[in-house]
Amino acid sequence: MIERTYDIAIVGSGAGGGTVAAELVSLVAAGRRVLVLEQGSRLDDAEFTGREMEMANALYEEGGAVLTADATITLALGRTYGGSTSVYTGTSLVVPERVIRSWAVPDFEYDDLRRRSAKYASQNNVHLLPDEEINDNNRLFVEGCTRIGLAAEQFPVNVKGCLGSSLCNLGCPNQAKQGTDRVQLPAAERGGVEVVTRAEVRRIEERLLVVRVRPKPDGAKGRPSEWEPGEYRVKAGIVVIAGGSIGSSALLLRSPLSAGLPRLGEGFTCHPAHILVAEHAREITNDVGHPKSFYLDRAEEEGYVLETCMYFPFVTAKNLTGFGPDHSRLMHAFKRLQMILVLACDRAVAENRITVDRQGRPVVHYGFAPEVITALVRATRTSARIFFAAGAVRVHAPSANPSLIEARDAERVDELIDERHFLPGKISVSAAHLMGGCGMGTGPQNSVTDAWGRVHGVPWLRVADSSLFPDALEINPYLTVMALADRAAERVREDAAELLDGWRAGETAAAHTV
Amino acid sequence: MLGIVDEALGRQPPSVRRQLFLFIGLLDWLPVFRHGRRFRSLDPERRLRFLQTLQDSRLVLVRRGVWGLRTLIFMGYYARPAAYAAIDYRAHPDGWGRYWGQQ
Repeated sequence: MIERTYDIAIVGSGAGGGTVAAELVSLVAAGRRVLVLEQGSRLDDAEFTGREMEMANALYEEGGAVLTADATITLALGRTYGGSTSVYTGTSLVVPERVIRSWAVPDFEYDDLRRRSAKYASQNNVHLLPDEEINDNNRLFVEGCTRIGLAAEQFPVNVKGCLGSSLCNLGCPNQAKQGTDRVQLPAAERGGVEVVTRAEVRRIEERLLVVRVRPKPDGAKGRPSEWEPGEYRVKAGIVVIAGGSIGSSALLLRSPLSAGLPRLGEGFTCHPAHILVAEHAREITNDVGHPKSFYLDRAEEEGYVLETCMYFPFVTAKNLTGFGPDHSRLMHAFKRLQMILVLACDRAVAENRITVDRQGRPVVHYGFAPEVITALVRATRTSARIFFAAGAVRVHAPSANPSLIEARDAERVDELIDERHFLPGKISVSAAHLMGGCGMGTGPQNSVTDAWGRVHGVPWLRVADSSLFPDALEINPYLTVMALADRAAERVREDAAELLDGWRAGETAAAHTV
Repeated sequence: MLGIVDEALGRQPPSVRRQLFLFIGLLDWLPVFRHGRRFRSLDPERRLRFLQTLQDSRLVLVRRGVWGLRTLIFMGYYARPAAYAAIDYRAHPDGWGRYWGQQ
């Protein structure tokens, strides 16, 4: 077992960990040693090919299809340098004030969150794409919404030099997306923060991380780890966990200190989502151009959000129910397909939570609450209306049976799309907004951390990612995660002297004694 | 196609591979009770109807099994470059530049 000592160790390099790393550069300049441990690998620019299976396997945990315990939802988790910021579409929204108020976390002010969100929107070049870069898939969504009296809004996105590959979810092949892999992590490394990839943190003990560094498998993408493969014990005076909702919760659950955290793993939410597809009579630009430029926010009124989207052949095929000629015909109409992603705004409930199995691997328990099914079916009806208003000749709605609805039946969508046809296990439901598990609150009886990500009763341990959300965010979470990480980093900077100076002296004395 | 499926299955734990093997066996024999023949001996139309019945089964276990199997098959088929060409999938790193160059 190899031993290493750092002042601060950060677990994870995504929106949370990457942000904390960049915010701690000032401590490095003051002589502190800061380390980031990332489970995934670091790819060279030329390795981002945009090919579906190849990139999914290189950038996501289990190729982007981690199953929940009852196998009715697949979860997408980025596992690479930059975490999920390397595989999202760059959508960057500030959370609505009503959501933060509903969380009712003391010492967690909306104005503070908004100010920090604006900081990262600026840092990551967040802006609205110009009209000439909007493709037909997005235009048709706006037109359809307008025709039925709904107001679509444009997503601010964090791109710079976007060529319109439409391959955002497979890692931008042109390095246009300004995630932590392009902005915060390189800045942190230039400032002296060390980043070690292929490094899996197995558990946390008292100011100690037990880490396994894996070798690069033959033929795999990415560079070898910066450290030699093997087992490590990394001592750190402050530990910041930012492995995402599932990663952070599971890491704490398999660590001895979980005994003092009875709420650990609870409050998991994920905005369960599925894809809807409509066929037009004419060819449209759908798989060229930024894929997710507009959305319709019905969260407050009806519990759902619609977003434009465009997925790849296998993901599209998987999301279409059925078999045989109907399925094949729709796939061969690929150039004429319009797509919408429907997301339900789920609520934190006791049954939906993260646990670990006997090997310490995460297990996500998630059941569809009746409100979630109602929201997804409502969202599907609205989407069908949007599709037909935009001129679609048929719509594929998985919560209708049969799933294909022809334009002549456009007036019957309320009747044809129905909750009785929403069959978990049949419909391909997926989720990429994974939240909760280490929720913020006032004490261990109701939460895992305080409003600044400090773990209750463990002053040297912090959390800085979406696991902090005590309930669903109701929008795309990345900007909010960065704002929370910014808060966590601020407290680390403030507490560094108190937490580190005494600890360092003790470590030095122990080393001399040995 | 089989290479892609093999690789995906290789990443699954042995228990999942066992369940899939059992489900495929079940799928082959179940039609005997309704049609007097195994799935492999049914004509394409009956195969289709049978699969659709299973997809809408009351049992979530059966629906999940069908979903898992079709997901693997679609992965094997639609992740191939030949399938990209067959459906005119155009996404490319050069994005708009390539698209307008071909118009």
